[in-house]
Amino acid sequence: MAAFSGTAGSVTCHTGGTILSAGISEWSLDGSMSPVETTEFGNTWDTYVPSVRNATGSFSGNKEQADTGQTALMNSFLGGSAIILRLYENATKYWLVGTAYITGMSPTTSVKGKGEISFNWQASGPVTYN
Amino acid sequence: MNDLLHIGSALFNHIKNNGTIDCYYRKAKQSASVPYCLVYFMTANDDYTFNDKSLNADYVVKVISDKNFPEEAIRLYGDIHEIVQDASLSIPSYNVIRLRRESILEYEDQFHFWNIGGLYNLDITQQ
Repeated sequence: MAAFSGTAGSVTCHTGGTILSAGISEWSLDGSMSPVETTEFGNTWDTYVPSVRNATGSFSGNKEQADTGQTALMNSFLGGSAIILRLYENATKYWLVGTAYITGMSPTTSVKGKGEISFNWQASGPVTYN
Repeated sequence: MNDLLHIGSALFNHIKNNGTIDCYYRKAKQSASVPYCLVYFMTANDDYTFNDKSLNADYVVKVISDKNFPEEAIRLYGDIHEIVQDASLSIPSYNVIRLRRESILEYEDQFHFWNIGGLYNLDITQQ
């Protein structure tokens, strides 16, 4: 097994066409499941059965005022509309979030720094690895 | 490393073309007459996104004077600072985000020349 470099990562959003979100330098996906406890009398260990899964995440980087990808993401948040997200590990392998809502957006500007922006998202429905 | 050549060249030429005293990059020629301005590179940090990169570089810009007291160098450096601070340099393949002074330096070297200047931070991002 070989580790891979994150330099070829990317984030794309799809609202009619594929739009690369420029300026992004990191993304994360947090998957979780809340198993249902089925422990019974007589059990010596807790038991569980699988239940629903959930995924949230975030990505951030430099704010690029003219970038169509960042604009689409901002409009998704402002308009409360769903988007399709792809979180690329490299040129070919990516996580597909079929329906995602931008749940948070944090543009920042400081006198000594660059304009930056971060987005939080929430998946609605499944996430797949392709 | 060509990036550094382009950046250094842009900064040096900006001062040379707009300043009122001689300007040298890295070191002055042996017969240079004081006062003069000296520009040299200190350090730079690369900053990457998935699609492009930025460079954050520090340069020293200072005036050298052989007077007994530093006032001449202070005055001349004040003029140089006006030229350098927030200058819009033209650097191939990069957009200049910011060129600003971070700190001021003033000292008399072992040859009793006054060195008055500042450390300038240049923030640029790939086009």
